Amino acid sequence: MIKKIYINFLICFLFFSSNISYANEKLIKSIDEKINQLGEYSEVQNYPVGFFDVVAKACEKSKSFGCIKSEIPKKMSLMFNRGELYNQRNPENQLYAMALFEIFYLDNLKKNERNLEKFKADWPKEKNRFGKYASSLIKFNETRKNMREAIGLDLNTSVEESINAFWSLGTFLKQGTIKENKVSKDFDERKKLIASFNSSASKLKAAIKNKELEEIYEYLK
Amino acid sequence: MIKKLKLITYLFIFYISFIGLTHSEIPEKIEDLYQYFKKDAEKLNNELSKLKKSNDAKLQAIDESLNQINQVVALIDKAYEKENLDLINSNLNFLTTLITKTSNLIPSQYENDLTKIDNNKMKGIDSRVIASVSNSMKVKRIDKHQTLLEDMVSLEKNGVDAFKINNNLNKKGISIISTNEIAQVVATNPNDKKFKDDVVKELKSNGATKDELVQIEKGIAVASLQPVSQQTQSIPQAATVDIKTEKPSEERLSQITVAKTLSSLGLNNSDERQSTGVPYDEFSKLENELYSQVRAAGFDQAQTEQVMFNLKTKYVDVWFHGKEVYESILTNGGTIQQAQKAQQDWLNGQVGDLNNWASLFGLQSNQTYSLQDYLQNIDKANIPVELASADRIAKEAQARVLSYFTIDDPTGERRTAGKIMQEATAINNKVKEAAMKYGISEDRAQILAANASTYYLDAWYEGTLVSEGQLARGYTWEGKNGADQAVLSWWDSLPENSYIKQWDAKLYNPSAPDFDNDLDYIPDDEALQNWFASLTEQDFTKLNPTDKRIYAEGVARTLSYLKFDDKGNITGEIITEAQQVQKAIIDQAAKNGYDKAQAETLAKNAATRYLDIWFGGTIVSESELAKGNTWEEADAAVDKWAETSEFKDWISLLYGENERFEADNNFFARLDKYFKDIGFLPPQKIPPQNPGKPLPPPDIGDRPPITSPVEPNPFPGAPGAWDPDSIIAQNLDRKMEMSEIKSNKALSNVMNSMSDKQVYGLLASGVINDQLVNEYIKNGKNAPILACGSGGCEVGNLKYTYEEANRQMQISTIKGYDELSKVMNSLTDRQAYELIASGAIPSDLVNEYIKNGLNAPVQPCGTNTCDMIEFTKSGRVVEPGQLALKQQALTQVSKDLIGTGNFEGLSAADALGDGLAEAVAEIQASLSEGAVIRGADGQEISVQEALESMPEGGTVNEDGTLLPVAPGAAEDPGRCGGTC
Repeated sequence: MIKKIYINFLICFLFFSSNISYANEKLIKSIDEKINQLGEYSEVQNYPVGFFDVVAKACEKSKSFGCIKSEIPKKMSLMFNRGELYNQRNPENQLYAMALFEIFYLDNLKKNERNLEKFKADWPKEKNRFGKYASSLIKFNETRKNMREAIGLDLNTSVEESINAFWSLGTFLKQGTIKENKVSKDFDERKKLIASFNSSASKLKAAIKNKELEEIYEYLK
Repeated sequence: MIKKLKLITYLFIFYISFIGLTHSEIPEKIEDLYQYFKKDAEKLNNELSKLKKSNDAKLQAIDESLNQINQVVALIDKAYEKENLDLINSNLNFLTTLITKTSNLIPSQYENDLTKIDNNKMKGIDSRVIASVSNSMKVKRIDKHQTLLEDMVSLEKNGVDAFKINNNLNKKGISIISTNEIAQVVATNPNDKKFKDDVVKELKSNGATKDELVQIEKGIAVASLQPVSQQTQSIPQAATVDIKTEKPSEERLSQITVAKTLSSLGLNNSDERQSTGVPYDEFSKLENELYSQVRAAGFDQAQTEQVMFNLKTKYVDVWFHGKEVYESILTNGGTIQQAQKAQQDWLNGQVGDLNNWASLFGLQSNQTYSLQDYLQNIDKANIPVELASADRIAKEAQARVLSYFTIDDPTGERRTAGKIMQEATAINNKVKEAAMKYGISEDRAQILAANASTYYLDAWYEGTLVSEGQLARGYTWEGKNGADQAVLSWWDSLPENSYIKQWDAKLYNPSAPDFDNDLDYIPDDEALQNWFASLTEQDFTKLNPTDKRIYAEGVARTLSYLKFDDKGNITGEIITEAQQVQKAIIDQAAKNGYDKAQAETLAKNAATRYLDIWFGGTIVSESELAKGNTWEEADAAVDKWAETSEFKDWISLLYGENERFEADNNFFARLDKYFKDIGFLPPQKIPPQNPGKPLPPPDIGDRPPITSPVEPNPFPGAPGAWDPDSIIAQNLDRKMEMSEIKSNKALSNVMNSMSDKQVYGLLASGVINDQLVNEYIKNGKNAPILACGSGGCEVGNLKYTYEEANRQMQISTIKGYDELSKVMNSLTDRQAYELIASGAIPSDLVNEYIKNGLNAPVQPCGTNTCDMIEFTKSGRVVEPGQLALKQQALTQVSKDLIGTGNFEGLSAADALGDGLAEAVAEIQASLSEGAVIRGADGQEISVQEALESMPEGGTVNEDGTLLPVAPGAAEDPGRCGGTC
């Protein structure tokens, strides 16, 4: 009789544990895909016209990646950090910043090349101590993907093409004439109201959309 | 013990089951965000109720839109309770779109006006990249719309009136998704019937108009549903010039009208020369009835005959002028229906005397004047003679006079012949002989003789006009109103010093002509002797015939070249030539890609002028021949006329240095210059950038798909000849699997019709959008077959179809794209056409290949003038969705022909096509909600939000997160005191 009880117990255990292992399998497959999407490091050969003037004047002569990448984080964070009104007055700002993010990502990819190799060597073993590097790159890559998608590009587009696309579009927007509008108080009140609600709706939407990504990051911790 | 173990086991199972059942599927983070979201929704509601109501339409629309949010939030609550994340997501997608579209109504403090950009500034910008990005965004937008539409269908099924909300807000100017956008989505999913049915069902029950439903059912987003601004931006066309339809010259119009009118009249076959023909036949049918009525009104026989004469005269008048109106419309290029209408309008519109007659004969729509009215108003004892229309009589008389002439053309000299010419010759001979007998030299005697003959013809012409006029009025030769008496009266009325009477005195005894003498035209010897005796030097100069006679003869001779068919249309060689002119111009215009309708108008105008020039010039030359001059003299007169003609420019264009119209290279060169001079230019040629998915389809009007099968045309590019399914089925040698690109089936169809090598070459050329390539090669699962079996090899030995088959499009090159050139050159006309029309090849490359239109792809119907849009396949109808896609692609080819790097005369918005504003909005929206990054606390926020939280010079953590902003830094992000 005791034997029978243990068998029942075992069946229950196997049933739940199989579900867990199936979930892991799916996650591993997703991580595989994400890792494949990271791409490979390849130095940018051609920069758009005006790039050095705006971003890395000091690197114009040498055009070395080493010089450029050192300039990028500071410039990029400053550009991304601009407020709404600044961006309205300088419509090229965010697009230039996105172009810089491509270089920023590339630099990170290079920096983490060895860590990624080590991660891949152990993968999909659990408790992979290089998981955090993979996770970090995936996060950056997802951001890069979102930025590219914002202008209709995808991860298949080359880095140079993407930089050129962001930059050209930014330069184009820069050619427009900025006109100031008088916005009435009534509009302003509604704008604030909408912005606040939109922020929480968008965050919730993004969280649902990225639920699987969260699981990936959690798994790679 | 056993019982205890049993209990523990079951408790364990229950516990595990309970955990499984009760454990929330919703992660904690989402739970937290949901709580924030709920609080903000409540806050929004509260704040909204506190806002001051406004009369401003925009503010009202915003408030109404925000009020709709409650309904959606309520469903989110329900979905959250059920832990249905998909439904929450659908709700949020609809909600955020609604919010975004609502906030678009709020003006920004700063606005970037991109409509006019200094062209010099554009030089440094790669316009192809901009156009490509803009196109990619459109593709993405269609995807987003599809997701939104699917979400809306899902919401409807769960109790949210998403379509109704959309419809209501649409009316207020907030379009969550427009009808046009819905139609675009339907058009890109032609095979998803269920989806379409769901959408149509929801639209139907939520107030969509019938037109909108038809358009959506057909999957055709028509331009009429687009805002006007969008329409005008999205249809860059050939340069338009104000080309008016030229009317025929007044001379040709009037002479041919008269000739055609008179062609319905005739003469009886006797010396009586009584008029016959259509109006007389028509009148004879009324005659008995009219006669009876007149007699019944108390008129005696003689009175009745006078009344009947009057009635006939007026009937012919009314008929004649009505017929002129009819013929003038036809001569002017109108239809028979138009001519009939004009004739009836003319009859109805007459005033005064002619109005009464038209009414009396029942020729007006409403009879207002009857025979009785006429009879009541005339004095039976003194019935007035109704005079015939002087204009009619003059025209008839001239035609009658000219009918005495014939053209004797055995040697091609077109000499005037006929009895009267024999008489003139006899006069000539008599005078010459008498003069020479008198001792005048032969040369001088010839001048006198010719002058006498000229005078005779002039006098005969004038006198015969009088007699024939009287006959045309319906009188006979005899009697007090007879033709003879009329001539005598005319003669008596001539002054003694008139040209005719003076010359008559030189040739005849001073008495009136003796009409009973058949030879009375022969000059009198005594009179001649007297004339010779009084000759002065002035008499030996050549006498010019009267312009009136010569012109009349010239017209009659010119008209003799023309023939009229049963319907009254002019036929003959000259019409054939005019048609050649028309065709040459249309062909040339089409070859260079000009606007078809405008080219047709130009061609028609040229044909009109060709006929005018021929008519005017021929009258000049025939007039010279009528004078008895030679062809050389006639040609010289025409040259002189051409120099001063009102059609001088057209003569230069159509004839150049040639004597006849020649559709040679010189003509085409002149034509191109003419097009340029009048500002008639071909469309700017730069086909589309890799669009991935085609743009919204163009307006195709109400033209329905043709449902009847069409005959297959033997030409490779003919309508009906391109049946992708059948071509793909024949592509048996191909190893690579057939595949599909959902967003650009035109591209996958043509790729499926290609050989392995061609596909490989096309993909290897790198010109096709990566996204499309990946879809076609199924992300590598359907890899292209390498041309030489290994990577890195060239396309290989693709044969040039051009060299071996019937390809009409010339082989061409694209610099730097050898592989693409090879592939393009290896395609058939139809494949090349379909590939270009798919819009998958970047515009500048297409432009280079087609040599800016000089090597234009051969269109489906085989010529450059045929309709680009293929409505049918052989024996079956193209699905509307496919049609729309086809049109989109075709439209792309012309529509995106926006000068690469050539922004001259274009605003930036024009230069980049219609998607610019949307592209900009797309970027802005994506920045605020789409691009997501993680902040230092691991929270997922938008790029904008994340980076707003970064201080200047902020760094990125090792794990990819960003350093948070230092307290207070957000207020002064640039740390420049707000001045930056």
